[in-house]
Amino acid sequence: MRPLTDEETKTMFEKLSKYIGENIKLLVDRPDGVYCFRLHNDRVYYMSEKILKLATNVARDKLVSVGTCFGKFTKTGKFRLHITALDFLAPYAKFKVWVKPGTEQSFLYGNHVLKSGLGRITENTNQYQGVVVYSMADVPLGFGVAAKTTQECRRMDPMSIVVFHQADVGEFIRNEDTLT
Amino acid sequence: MKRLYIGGLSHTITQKDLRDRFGKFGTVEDVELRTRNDDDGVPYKTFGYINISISDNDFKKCMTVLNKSKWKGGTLQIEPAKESLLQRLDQERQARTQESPSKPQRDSKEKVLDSLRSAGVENFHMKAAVPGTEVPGHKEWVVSKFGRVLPVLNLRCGRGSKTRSMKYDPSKHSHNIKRLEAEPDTTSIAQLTWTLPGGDDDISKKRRGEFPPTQPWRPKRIRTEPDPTRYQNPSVLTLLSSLLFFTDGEQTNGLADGHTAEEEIHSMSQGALGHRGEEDILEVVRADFLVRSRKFNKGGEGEEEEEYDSADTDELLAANKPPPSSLREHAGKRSLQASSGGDRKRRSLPLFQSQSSAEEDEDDTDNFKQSDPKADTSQQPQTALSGFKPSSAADSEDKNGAVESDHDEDGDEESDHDEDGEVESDHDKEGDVESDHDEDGDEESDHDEEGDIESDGDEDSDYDAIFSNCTRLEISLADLQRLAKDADTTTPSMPQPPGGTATGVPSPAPKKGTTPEEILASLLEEDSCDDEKDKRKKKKKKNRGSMSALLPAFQGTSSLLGEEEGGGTTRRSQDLAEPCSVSQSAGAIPEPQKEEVPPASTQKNKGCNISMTNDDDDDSSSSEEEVPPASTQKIKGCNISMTNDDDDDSSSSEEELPPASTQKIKGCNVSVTKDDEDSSSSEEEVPPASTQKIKGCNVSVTKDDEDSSSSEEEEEEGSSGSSEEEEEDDEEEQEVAGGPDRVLDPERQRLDNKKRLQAVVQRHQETQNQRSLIQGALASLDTSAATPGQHIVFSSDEEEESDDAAATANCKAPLKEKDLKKVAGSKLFEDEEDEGEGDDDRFLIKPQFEGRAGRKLMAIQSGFGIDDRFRMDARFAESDEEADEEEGEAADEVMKSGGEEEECLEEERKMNLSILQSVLNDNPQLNAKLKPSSKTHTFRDVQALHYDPSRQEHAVFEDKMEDAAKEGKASRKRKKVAELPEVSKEIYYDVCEELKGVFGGGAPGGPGDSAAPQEAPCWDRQEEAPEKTKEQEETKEEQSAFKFSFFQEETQTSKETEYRVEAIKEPRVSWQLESGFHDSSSDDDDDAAAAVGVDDEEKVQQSSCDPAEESMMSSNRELFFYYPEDSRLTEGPRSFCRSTHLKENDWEEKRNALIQDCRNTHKKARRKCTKKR
Repeated sequence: MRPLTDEETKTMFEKLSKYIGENIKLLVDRPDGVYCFRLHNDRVYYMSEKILKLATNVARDKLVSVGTCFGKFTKTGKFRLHITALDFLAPYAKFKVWVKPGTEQSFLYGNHVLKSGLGRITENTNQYQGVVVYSMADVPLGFGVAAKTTQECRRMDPMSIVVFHQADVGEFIRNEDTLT
Repeated sequence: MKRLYIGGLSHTITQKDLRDRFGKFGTVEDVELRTRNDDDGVPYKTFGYINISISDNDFKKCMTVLNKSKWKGGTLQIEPAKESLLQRLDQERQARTQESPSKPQRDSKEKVLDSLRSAGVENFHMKAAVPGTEVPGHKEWVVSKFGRVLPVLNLRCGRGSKTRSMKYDPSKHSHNIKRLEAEPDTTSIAQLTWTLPGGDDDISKKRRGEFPPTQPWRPKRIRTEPDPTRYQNPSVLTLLSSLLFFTDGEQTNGLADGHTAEEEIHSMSQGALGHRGEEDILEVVRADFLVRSRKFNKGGEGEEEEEYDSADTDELLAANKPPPSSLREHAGKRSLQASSGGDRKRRSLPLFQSQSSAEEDEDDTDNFKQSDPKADTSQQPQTALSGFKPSSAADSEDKNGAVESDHDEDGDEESDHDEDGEVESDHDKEGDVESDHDEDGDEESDHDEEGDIESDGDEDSDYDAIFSNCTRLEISLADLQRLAKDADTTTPSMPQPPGGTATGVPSPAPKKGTTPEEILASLLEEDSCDDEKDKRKKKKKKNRGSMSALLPAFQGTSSLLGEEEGGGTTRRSQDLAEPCSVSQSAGAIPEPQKEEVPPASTQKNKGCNISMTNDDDDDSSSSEEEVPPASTQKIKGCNISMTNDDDDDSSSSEEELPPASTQKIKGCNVSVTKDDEDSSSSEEEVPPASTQKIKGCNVSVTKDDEDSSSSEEEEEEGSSGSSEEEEEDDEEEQEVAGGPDRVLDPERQRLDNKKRLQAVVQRHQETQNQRSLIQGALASLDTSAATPGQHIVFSSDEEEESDDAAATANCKAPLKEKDLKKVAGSKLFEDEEDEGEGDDDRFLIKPQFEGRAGRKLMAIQSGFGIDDRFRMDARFAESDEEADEEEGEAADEVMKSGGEEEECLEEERKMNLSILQSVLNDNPQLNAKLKPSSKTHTFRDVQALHYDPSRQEHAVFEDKMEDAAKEGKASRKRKKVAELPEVSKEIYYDVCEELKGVFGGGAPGGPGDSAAPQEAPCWDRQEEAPEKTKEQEETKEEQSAFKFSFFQEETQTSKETEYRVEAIKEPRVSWQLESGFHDSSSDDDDDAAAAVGVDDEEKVQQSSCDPAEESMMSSNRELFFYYPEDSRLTEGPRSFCRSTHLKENDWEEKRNALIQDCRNTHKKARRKCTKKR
């Protein structure tokens, strides 16, 4: 477990900023304590200083997970967000998409969100903007990438994809073994 | 000779080959080769038949040798075959020919014909013969009708031994014979009807053999009315659909539902395929859209949530839906609910009350599902309870009936009698509907789930839902509490009445019936009132239903008790606690009755209690003892109604009161008093507890709170007022005791009075003690303690309550207010009581909320609201403290040992931030704490802009103000001179040239000019340079701070202009050109005119004036304004006058020229205008 290098930090922040923009600052600079990102097994964990200290008591090879896993670095050096980060992304998300109840299941099974399942969307969403997907009951379901701008969404064919699926809470079950 | 089949030949084999091959075994006579070709003409099978004369031995030999032998790429297969058809035909023919030749058969026939013909019969007709005559020579032939000759037939009939022959003589049956038509009109085949004329309709087409093209079979769809609510929950839909798919469309349960589900799925998919309408549904939300996530846990959010609810599980369903459907649920389970102490109560209450009857109806219909199972469940408890009750008025009512009764009660609670009626009817309908629904398998299944949950003892949700509507419970609770206190004080150990009524009484609205006398009175009243109420169907129903309602209460009480124990600060707990007290009170109350009142009355009391527990009493009463309880219930109902608002009931009760029993009279009195709002009158005859209750009821809205507060010591505000009221009550009671004319039983009355007095005294003491306690607590606490409690109380939903509470807090509110509150009715009542009940806990100082940790706890608690599950106990506080300590220790350690680590972390954080900024490409402002950015974004209303000297930001304005003041002059000057530069330059320039010509180079003015301007910029710059720098700085500051100000801009511009002005000033000064005019806002025209007309003179004038003006200007430099004896005033006019007289000619010339000019210009202007047009 080690702190992230500048490069890694930059990569990760770039990814995070797609979803929460400058609100990353709120994650880094928290009034309620010191929180930090740590890299372990190519995964980035977000934890409080306290947990960080506790984790030092665990051998590196025995440490499975600590804090909240935000995602992992792929072999190609890109950062991939995990669904476990949803709890931190959802409240700060700049752009949100609400899916209709019928589409919830589909989304939770890993499918993209079609126009027909789009219940609500934040205005001024740009294409390829990271969005957090909510159910109509305002339960965050996951996140994805807007395939179209808000304006385009209005005129879209109902069967066209509006939000690309990236992660959903269904992964807690589907990828139980790989999510840490 | 044998015919053999030979199969498995190769395609290349010829007849000769076969012949040679089989020639060995015999002589081959005929060979037939057949080849089968497939579609492409490729042979795939070849076989042959041969006729061969062969002996058996040879055949066997042949078979053994050749059969299944391989020959030319094929395996021979030899079998004996049938003879060929041709041969067989030949054989047959031969055989036939060989048979004996056929005999001629025609002989006899022809003979007959011949003989007949000879007898004169032609073609079987004998002309001119009488029917019945025999044909001569032919015995067997007879002439019959139409002269036809027919044979006589001998028929044999019968069988076996019975056979007999019958002779049929055609002549005797001539009527059977018809005339043979000579020419039967024959229609040729072509003339037969081959075509049927017909239209284009389907039938004719089909008749013609034309059938419409077959259409693919479509499964029939059964249209069931769409239940919007049913499938509100899409997840349910999906579930259903998945189920359907699993069963491959074989739905064992409810086909209809399955179909509906399918349809919905269809529609959904279609919708997915694109309804235009759906696009409209797309909702675009602003970036600041508020997400209210995860609120559903708290339930009772409202219908909106239900719409969007995605929760799949039955639990969620149950949790979400119960509140609206609560009406039905109320029925059987109300008592239970009371025990369970629903959170929902509060939440749903306001809604419910506000709802019109129509809305209620809708709710009911919507919640059919839920209601069904609930109804079932409710029945169960009813039945179980019925076993308990001895009297068991329990006319095992139908479920529907029970439901109705429940509903009625609810309606009473709501105090909208009209609505009640409607509701009832609606419910009846619903009941029918329910039965229908039960038939539907699917719904049942759905319901079953819910039902299971409920039956599993998760009745909490149901209870909650039920609770939501019971307004009365709360009301009664407050009274109950009072009673309980009284009872406790007076009779500490009271045996609970039989039948566990006390336990069941969670909500008992002991308002009037709690005290024995009151109960009796109420009973009597009820009797009197019975007739009226009987008239009202609702009430009847209620009575019936009361049984059911009562029964469940039992269980509820136990649960209530349990909850009580668990209960704490939150409302629920308070409510629950109240019921306990109520039960106690109920126990206490019965005592006096026992002493003085006959057992029946006690029972009645019980009934009353029970009914009260149920909540409303009107209806519930009947359950225990059918007749009296009903009356009691009714009485209660009357009371309640009176309290709520309607005086009708009470008045009616009075009218009908039979004079028989004192109790009745009491009841009547009570009722009357209540109606009149005179608490005193009611109190007269009623024992103290009852009086209090009555007060609560009558004065209810206003006074109840006070009373409750006083009695319970819980309300700080009401303490003083309550005590006063109590005193009043006591007095009144005493008075009543003094004037015991009304009571029939003097002894009883006396006893009652004694008890009353005792109770009053005790209560008084209590109240005083409490007051002192409260005061002490308040003194120490101030408002801090109260705030949390209040927060908990009012946060939920009931603003009205809070208002009421506030009103009650001011005990001395005018009577009018009270009346108003009365109108408000039961709601207020409940609320107040609740508050009162809850007040005990609420206003106690909670140790866990003290101190720093306590503050934290408070914050957390406020975050959770009144949710019982998250109540913050002392435990949490401790833990917090511990945590704090730990943290502190940890921090210390860190400080000591891990300071380095912290530094590292800090560095890391900074690094992160810097990287973040680089990522975000943020401007440095963001770095500096977002404030500037926020400023940049905030919109400032210009009009709302006020100068606040105390604010640092406004320092800018201050500066500006000074600048403005400084520049006041300059700006003014600038304005005056605004247009000067251009005009003056021109004129000035012209003049200058002429001057040059006239004066020979204008030597005196030129150098002065050149010198002055050169100088001017110098000192100007010197002056202005620092200013400019200042300005720049300021502007920089402003830009960085991005402060909005009008002044700055002005100042900037003004400064610039000032600079310009001063630069110009110099030359002007040097030339002294009409400085006076321009300063006094002279016109360009004047200048022009002067320039045109007075050029020459000016030159002269200027030349003459130069020295004087220079001096003047020099003197004027300091003074801008004119002053008396100002040289500008004295000399200025001169410029208007001609110093030299023009000659006549010159003047005329000038004039003409001017006129010409004018005309020219006029023409030009006209042309322009016309052109434009």
